Amino acid sequence: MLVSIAWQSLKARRKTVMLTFISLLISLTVLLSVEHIRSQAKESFNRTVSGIDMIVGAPSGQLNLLLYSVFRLGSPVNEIQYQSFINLKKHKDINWAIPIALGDSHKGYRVLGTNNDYFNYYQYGDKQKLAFKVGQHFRGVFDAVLGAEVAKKLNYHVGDQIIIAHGIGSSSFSEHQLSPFVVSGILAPTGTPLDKTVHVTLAGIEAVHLPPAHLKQLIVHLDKVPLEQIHPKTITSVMLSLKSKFSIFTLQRAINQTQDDRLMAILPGVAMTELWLLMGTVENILRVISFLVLISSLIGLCTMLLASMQQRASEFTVLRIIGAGPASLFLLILIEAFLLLVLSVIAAIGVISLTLWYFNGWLSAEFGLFLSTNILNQSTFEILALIFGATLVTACLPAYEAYQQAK
Amino acid sequence: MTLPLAIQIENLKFSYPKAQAGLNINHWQVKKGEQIFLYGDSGSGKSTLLNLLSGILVPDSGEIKILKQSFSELSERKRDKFRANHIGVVFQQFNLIPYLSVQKNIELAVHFAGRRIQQSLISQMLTQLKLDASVSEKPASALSIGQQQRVAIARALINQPDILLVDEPTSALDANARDAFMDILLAMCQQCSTTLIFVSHDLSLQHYFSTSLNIKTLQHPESFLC
Repeated sequence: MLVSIAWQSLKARRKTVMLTFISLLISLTVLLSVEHIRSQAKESFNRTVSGIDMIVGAPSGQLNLLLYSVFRLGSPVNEIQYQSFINLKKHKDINWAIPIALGDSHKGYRVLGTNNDYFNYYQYGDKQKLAFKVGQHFRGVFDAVLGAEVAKKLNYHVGDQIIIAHGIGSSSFSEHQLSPFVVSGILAPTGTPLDKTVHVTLAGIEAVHLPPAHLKQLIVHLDKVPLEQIHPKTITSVMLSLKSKFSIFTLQRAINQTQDDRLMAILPGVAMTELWLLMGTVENILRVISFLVLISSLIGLCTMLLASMQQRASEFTVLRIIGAGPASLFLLILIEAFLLLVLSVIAAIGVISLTLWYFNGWLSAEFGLFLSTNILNQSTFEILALIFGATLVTACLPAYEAYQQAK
Repeated sequence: MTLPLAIQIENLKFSYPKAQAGLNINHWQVKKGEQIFLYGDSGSGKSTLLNLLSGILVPDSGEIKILKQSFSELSERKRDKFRANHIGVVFQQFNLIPYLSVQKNIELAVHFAGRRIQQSLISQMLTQLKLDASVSEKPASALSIGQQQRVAIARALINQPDILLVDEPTSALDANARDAFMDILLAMCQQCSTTLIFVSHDLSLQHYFSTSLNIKTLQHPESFLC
């Protein structure tokens, strides 16, 4: 009965209630989306690397190396010798090594040159291996394996021909027209930057960068040359898995001190921690701001209810005279506040879900963020519990006012 | 004293915190089923007396017994419940919650009395009060003052209270509406043998009642038997 009165009462004060509702909606949307993106960004980044113990690239910042080799963010500053990859691969402590050559693109999607070890060893998420949705790994020089999103967005199928372009813009002037790649396989979705990557062979990368005359010659003799024989002189980085975790630091030091090539070895976990430390401050500022916004909305709610007390004096008298106790009036005001809050929470969750659903592609393309559209996870519930607590506290003020009027 | 008592006041003293004047009633009692016209100038304490009788206000000293139940013995919660079940009140205006429908306003009174809602009783009452059935779903604020006051009677009488306290209910009504209102009110009280305390400063209403009383005489230090 009280709930129905509270609802009618809110409806009767439509204008002020709507404004309060909108203010609550905005602040809840900000707060919940900041929280969601915060927790999801971490998860999205963390799930991208799994089972990689070390990344080796040209000396620069460790974050830089991590970002461009794993998340396809930013550009490589320098390259390493192909021979260094061969040396690493042969090293006794190393389980497997995956070469990575970046720098080309296809219609805005990054092209990654590698070999078949990539599909055999690369892991993401909870140590999941890559799986092919259709087709298979590289068999020839000009084979390409597409990430799930690339294939879906550009509507490619196995057997289609694609032309890669030099550089990483979505419209490049120098296309490697002469040497079209053929799609040999399409990967199952992973929810990582892999979905937006075009994988080609190292040989293919080398081939498209040859002068046209050489390239023609190569294409003619293609059958006679084994795939491993054609490779670029330099690659971008190497992903390593070690036989034993105990050798990590020894190996890292050894790699960093290599004489023949200038190398830098980073541990993804450590680089990731540096990233989170960097993000932590920004994160906290965002959180504080969104909480302040929420507090101001709650004060708005409190003001709205308090302001209505005067005009509702006669209403309370009527309620008193028909036997409603002060406690009932206290409860009535609390219910009004909570009805409004619940509605705002539902609306905010709806708004966020819709926005995420709509902007998901853009977020993953622009920032490498793969966010779940389901925002109802544990951290959201914790925040909601906090919000409900805060509302209870603020609503107590007008509720107590009503209680006092009734006395 | 053949009839049992509805209201009994002994040595009642009450004053508002910042006012000098207050109520001071040594002795007053009302028998069950009586209809009393209580008049006096404004500020003579009529409304205060009604608030004391309904238990909204608590006397500084002395005792009020309603149906042999002493108000001062009851906890606040029980007093609210007791009021909901035994006392109906109709004010000068603002008797209804404006944003609720007529139906809901009446249901609310039943709810707080802790009773079950009987739709037939509500409809029957509205008919008796010459209120159209279409009125019941309208919000109270959409009704004319005359209609609102009649709904107020329905709301006040729905729990079949023993006592009905009425405070200048006709002051906002025109002459025709006033006569209609008075007829209905008295008829319904008669029918349910409800004790009626009708407070007004308008002596022209006196002729509707067999017993009328100036609040000044109550304030007299001597005991007064009605």
